[in-house]
Amino acid sequence: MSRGWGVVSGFTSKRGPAGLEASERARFEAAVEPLLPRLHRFCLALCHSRQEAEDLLQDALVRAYLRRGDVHSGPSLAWLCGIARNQFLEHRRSVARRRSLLDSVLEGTTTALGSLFAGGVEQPDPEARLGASEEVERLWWCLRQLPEKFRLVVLLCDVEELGHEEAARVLGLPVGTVKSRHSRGRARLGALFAATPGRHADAVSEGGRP
Amino acid sequence: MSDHDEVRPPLSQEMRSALGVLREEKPSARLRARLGEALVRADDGRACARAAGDVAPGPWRLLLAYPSALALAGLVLGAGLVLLSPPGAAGTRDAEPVPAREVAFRRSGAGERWLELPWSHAVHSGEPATVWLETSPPLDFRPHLTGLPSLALVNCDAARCVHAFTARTGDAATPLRVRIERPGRYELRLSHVSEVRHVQERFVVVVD
Repeated sequence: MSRGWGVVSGFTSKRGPAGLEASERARFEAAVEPLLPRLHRFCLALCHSRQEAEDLLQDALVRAYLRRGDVHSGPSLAWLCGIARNQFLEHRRSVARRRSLLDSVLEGTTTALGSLFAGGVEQPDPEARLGASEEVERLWWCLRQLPEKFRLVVLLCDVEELGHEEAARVLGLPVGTVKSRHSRGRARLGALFAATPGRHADAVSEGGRP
Repeated sequence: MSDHDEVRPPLSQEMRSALGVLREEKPSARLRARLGEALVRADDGRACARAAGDVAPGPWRLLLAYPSALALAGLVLGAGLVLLSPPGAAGTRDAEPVPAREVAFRRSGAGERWLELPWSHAVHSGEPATVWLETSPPLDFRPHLTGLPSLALVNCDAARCVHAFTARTGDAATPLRVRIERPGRYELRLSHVSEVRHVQERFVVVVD
């Protein structure tokens, strides 16, 4: 892709210099562009709300951009997903360190802070809402009911259609583990999907099971 | 892993169709614009330094980047602190944190022992207080409080549990006893609120 992702991105930016930085950025955007939808779905599978997934995607991309020199052959899906997953785990650990369970319980009396820190300042994206069909939301809801170890493998193998070897590379797992988790995760997902005929859009957009 | 594990269960037609639609899900134009802006900011030297060493979550970075968002956060934080007063609190009074206290406890002999927490019940002037107590698994205080009709297990995660109950205060205060089976260093957090006060306490218990 030669254009930037947004009106202030790439060469049209008023903030960034129009020289080397802008062309570096454009090169990075072009290299990541084909992988962006997959990385976005990976973040959606990791997180329990769209807002959280968008924050994660942004953080992961910025980190990847700043570390683009680490990969001489250009960014790969495995590299990007690894960064996103590390960011996710790092964030989860830091949140756990900062908050005690008691804080969480007392915080249950209000959602004001929670929605702010979950990105609730922004209005929900109308385009995303329109695009998300009931069928997709139902599938996301079912996916999020799976334990993470099954969820990510099912996402990579059944949604992204990666082979077991490639999924193993993305997740940093042995191929045998991926095969086993794929089989068990798919069985669980199939049973959940069959047993869940209703509408679950709210559960997906507001966060599913913790 | 067995051979059986590697056999992939078939997907129903309905699920195949849903997977196909899900596969088409892409970042919206708004999200793409946001990502583009984030990369521009990353080129800023300040953003580079922050992103390289900072583990703060995205929203914090947004707050730091936009002064107006920071002001809004202040407003919401203020409102949040008011709302944080648990049900039954007098008006909208904020919790008063008490400095952490270390409690030394010497077990004599083998087996379990009970430690009575020196909680500040006197601040409630004899009014009943709603208490939240956070403990970690080696500690258990429930058996001693089973006589309290309001006792409830509020929440648990892998490492801790929070219990809530109504306690007497003043001269006939409900004793908060914690069962300790092993030596170690434990942290207990307590929040108690009445019509009079709302206090948060932290005890560090060192058991020989």
